[in-house]
Amino acid sequence: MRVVIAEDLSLLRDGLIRLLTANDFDVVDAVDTGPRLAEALRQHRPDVAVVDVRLPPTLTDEGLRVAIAARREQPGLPVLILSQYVEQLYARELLSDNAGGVGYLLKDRIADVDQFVDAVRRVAAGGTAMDAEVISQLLSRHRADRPIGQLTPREREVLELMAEGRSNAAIAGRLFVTEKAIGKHINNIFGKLGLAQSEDDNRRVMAVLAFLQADPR
Amino acid sequence: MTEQVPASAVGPGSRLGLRQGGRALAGLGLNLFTGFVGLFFLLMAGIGLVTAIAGVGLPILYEALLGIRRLTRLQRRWAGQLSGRPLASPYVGGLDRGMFASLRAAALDPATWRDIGWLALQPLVALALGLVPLALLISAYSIFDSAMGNGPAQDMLGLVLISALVAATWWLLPWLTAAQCAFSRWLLSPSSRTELTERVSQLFASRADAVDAQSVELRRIERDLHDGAQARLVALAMDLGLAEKAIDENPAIAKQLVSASRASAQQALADLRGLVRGIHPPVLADRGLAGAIEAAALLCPVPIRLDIIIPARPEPPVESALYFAAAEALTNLAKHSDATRGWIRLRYLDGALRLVIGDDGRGGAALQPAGTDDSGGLAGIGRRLAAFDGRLEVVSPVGGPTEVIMELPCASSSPKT
Repeated sequence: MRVVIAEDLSLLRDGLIRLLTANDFDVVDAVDTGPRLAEALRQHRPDVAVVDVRLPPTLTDEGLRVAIAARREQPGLPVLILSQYVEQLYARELLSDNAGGVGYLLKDRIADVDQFVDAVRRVAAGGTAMDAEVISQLLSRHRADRPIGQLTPREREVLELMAEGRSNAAIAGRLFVTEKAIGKHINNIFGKLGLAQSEDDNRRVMAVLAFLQADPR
Repeated sequence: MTEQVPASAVGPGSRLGLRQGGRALAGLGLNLFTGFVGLFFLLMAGIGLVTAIAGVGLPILYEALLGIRRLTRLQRRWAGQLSGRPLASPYVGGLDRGMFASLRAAALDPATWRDIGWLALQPLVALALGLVPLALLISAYSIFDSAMGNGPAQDMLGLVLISALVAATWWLLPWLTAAQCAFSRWLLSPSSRTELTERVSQLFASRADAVDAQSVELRRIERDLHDGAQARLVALAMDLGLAEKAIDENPAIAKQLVSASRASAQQALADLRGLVRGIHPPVLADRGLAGAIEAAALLCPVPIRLDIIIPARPEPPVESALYFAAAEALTNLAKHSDATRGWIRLRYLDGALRLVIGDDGRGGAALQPAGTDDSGGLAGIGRRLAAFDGRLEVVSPVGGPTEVIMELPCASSSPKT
């Protein structure tokens, strides 16, 4: 799987290269500025890009802007944004084209190598990988007496993991229950939130994220 | 910069309607009145001063001062209304703290002496200015009285003269009024020295507040680092050291210690993240005030309608002050208002940024100091804004809606030309 990395701190860039190479990714380019990232994405058309949100020369959200612009040029280009902090505004912008194949994770998550590699693969496959903190911020906006409040604690757990972009099998593994039980939970969740079910995993995740991002009801 | 003068103002070059002309004439009459009443008070104060040695004079002096202040207030109001630019009260303190203390304060207040100067000059000025239209109108009348009815040619000439005199009076009125207003302004509005003194003490207080707030902030950061990230890193180093020792003999324990260190590292990162956000939120650097406020609104459990139009990014300190003020107001809104919707409006108007944060909640919010926490609460916002000459106002009748209004002067937000 071909991957482009954009990270300005060499310590982290080398770490990412090592980590991804060790997990059978083919790092075709590793760049350290926004303009070079734009060029690399155009030239290599990678299967997935792992991008630090803050890049030179502006040292602001350059990485995010370049990634969003690249996705406008190459719709669905899988991009995983890494950041020291999460910002709902950026999550919303990443998800706004509804095309899937996006991720937004705290840099801390790299520490859990298996989870991180799984997230990169998921994004490359057109799925999503949203940081747990993004989801918990979204959930905390919803008041206890509204639809979200009608979920059982277990359903809430399932909803959080699903919103992060995990597959049913992964959720089942995380919660030590069968996939079938997860399917049942998901049915209940969609019923309580009034969302239309879908067979397609990605579309289901997008529906949940859209629900969470909408104005609190 | 031109000043906005209301349409009711009377000044040189303004076209007089009948009503304004009447007001101007009445104003000149009023000035004669204040001039002579002023003389009476001046006399009274003099008597009070002379007899003060015997003790009986002090109450007379005090009453005279009260009268003078009332009279000058009337004069200020008149001059303010007619010139369209209000005159501020120049006094350092009121006369409501007991006779002796009030007299002492008044004697030390330069404004009192300027008042007395005004009392002495006002009759002369009012007389001089008031006599001009009077003289013109009287001569017009005497022409009418003596010259009219002596034949058509003379009648014609008389009529022309009378019209010319009346027109001259009418034309002069705004100038006379303006002169009278300027005279009042000269002696009765705060001297530039008083204004400067006031400004300096304001700046002194706001600077002290800013320095205070800054040192409180630094102490908080130091404490947060010490109790948070630093402590976690110590624990992490310890765990790693133990793991290093255990790794050969007891790999299972070493593995446990390593995963504990990882947890410590992640917690340290989370602590640092929180700290950085409190110092300068990255989204503010990335997107400026508009984007950062939008981001803060996204976290609010109450749906917020945004209406933000500013021509350019303000100075970073201004941005930061307004951002934290907005964030605090949003937190209050979410916690206390019980609102179903809120709104944020940000505009650049007349050299100031004006930020309004409102909600349809229960109202009754007040500008009270927020207990022991020096940095929080609406009062904290007010202090923070004061360091930039900003202003905070809370309009929150019981039952709502609530609006928190912040204004911050800011030159750099003007459109770049």
